[in-house]
Amino acid sequence: MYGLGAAEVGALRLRRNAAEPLQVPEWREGETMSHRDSMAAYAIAGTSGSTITIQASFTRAADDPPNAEIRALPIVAPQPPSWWLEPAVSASPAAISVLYAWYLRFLSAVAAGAAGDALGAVKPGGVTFGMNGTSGFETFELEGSRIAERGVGVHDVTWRWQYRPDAGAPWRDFAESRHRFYAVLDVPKAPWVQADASTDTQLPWTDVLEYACRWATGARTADEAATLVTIAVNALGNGLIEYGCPILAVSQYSMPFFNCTAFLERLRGEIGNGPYVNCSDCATIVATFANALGCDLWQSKMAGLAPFALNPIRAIGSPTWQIACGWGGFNYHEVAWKGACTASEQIFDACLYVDGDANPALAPHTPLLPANIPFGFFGDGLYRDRLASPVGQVNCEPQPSTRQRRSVI
Amino acid sequence: MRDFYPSLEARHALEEWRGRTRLDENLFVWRLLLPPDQFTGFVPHRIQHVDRPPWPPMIQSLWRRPSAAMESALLHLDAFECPSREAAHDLLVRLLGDVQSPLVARDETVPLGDVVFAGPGDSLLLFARANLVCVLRSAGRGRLPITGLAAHLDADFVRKPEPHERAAAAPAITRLEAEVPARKARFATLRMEAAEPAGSPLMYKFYSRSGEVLREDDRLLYRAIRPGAQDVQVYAAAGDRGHAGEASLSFELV
Repeated sequence: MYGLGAAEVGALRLRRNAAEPLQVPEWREGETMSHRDSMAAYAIAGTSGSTITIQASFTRAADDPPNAEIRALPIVAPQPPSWWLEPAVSASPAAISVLYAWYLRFLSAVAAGAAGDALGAVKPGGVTFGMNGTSGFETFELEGSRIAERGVGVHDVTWRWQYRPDAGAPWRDFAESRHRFYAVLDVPKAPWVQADASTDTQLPWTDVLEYACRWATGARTADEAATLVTIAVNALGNGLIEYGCPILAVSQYSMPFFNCTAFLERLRGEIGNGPYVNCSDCATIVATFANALGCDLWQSKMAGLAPFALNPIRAIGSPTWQIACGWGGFNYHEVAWKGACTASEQIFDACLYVDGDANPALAPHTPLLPANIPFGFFGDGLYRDRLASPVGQVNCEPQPSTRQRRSVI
Repeated sequence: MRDFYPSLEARHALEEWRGRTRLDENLFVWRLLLPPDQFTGFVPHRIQHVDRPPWPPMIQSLWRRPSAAMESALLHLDAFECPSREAAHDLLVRLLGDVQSPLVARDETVPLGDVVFAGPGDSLLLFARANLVCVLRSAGRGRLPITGLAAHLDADFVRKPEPHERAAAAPAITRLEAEVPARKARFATLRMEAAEPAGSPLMYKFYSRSGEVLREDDRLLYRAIRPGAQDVQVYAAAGDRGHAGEASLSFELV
């Protein structure tokens, strides 16, 4: 698999997390057993219009030929017949026989490690073995890849590797490899980098892609991906995290760096940095996870000369509409923000629901999770009008000088 | 539109307290360490040393009560080691910009640090002591009063080793010199060498009544209050807070 030069084929240089680099080659016979042991990521924008390639090296046994043609086919679980849930059809003895045969094939495929076909097959390529019986890293093209049409996603692939000594000989199985591929929209943006040094902790983390790609599964545009990430982060308020009223909403995960290690621990159901978050934490999580998918978001504040008064909001993890823990207003607020982070640009706020109806100051409240809506100007009914009360809006100004992308630790 | 951070400085009256100390002598802490028994009754769940400029070196730490349920009693401490006391106070204001509640304000009634910010509930304190800035909060679902814990932490920062500890200590500091400029100057460069055991870094505390120590990049500087005789005392402490050596230095600045 690719190490240096990965970007040329849309592949991304990765780490597992802050502490662990990712070993290259990603798949090693006898060492990497499950799909998660061998991970790679591709940027869809980098692969469109070009053929995805991989690199692999092989070792032959003493009685194997010195040259061979090699390919790999995906092991895919067979789909049941289209009528299998229609009782009128599937109850007949003939249908039961067909279903039974499918079921045996399905079990056999699962036992062989069947997975998806998103990456397609590895096209046949010639391999020449050296004197020591090992080939160099050979480049193979993939055919039938569907990652572009499926958008953001996590794709497990099991490849059955086959060889033959010449074009007239039958293919013979010799190995199976299992891989997990993350499909992101574009090359990850800051804080993530595509540095040559595998020691750079700001290389995209597979531990982050594991969540980000699932949260934004199927997204085909950056706005769609960022919106799905915002929704998913807000949904963590269903027991995992909550707005930090008891600790006066001080940042728990983002002061001054994004303690992504602690947040991932929290996502796994462990302690992390505890359950409380504030707006800066949510903005940082959304921007960092979305940017891992190729989005281009910032974390930026809104504030003024004094704290600003609010309309009723429903903070993350809270069932109650209130004016920020009963404080009356916010010292500042921070969101994930596009572009120059001014009133004209769109924001993504996983921290709170605003009232989305005609009168955001009064009950009944219509929950609106602000995602991909402009910050707005006084009276235009956009985000600012819904968040800050009319009297508070003068102190709820975009603060583009605070625009940042916190490093991950 | 006024920039956020200057407006925070005005809101919290930085000019009133920037650079002030509540100690009788100036203290400078270098290479801060947190011992695993820093908070009585708590064990460290995670201690991360982070050095990522332009932010000063810092320690992010989470502590839990071993006997309590996982979520109920958590203590979250971020401790920043700034180049000087003034830099610490500037940082403190910047960190107040990461507290969303408008109820956090300077509290002169809390007897710790050189300056303290707190809010209702005794669950969050931000304070500066010498060149250090600490953000201490109760991070679990159970409410944990933190002023007492913060006071112990602050007392540890300030504390000099007792005579009986000093008698038993190994002489870790092997050299302490001042590079004094020939012409009139308020500053001198400090040169210090210490025999740190491999894999066991030491932290250092500098005390002076005639001036103060500060850091410029990796260089230690001394800034005199006035010309004349200058005195600096330094104590080294091991990761378990044990005394590991001391040295003192006297010199003249014209």
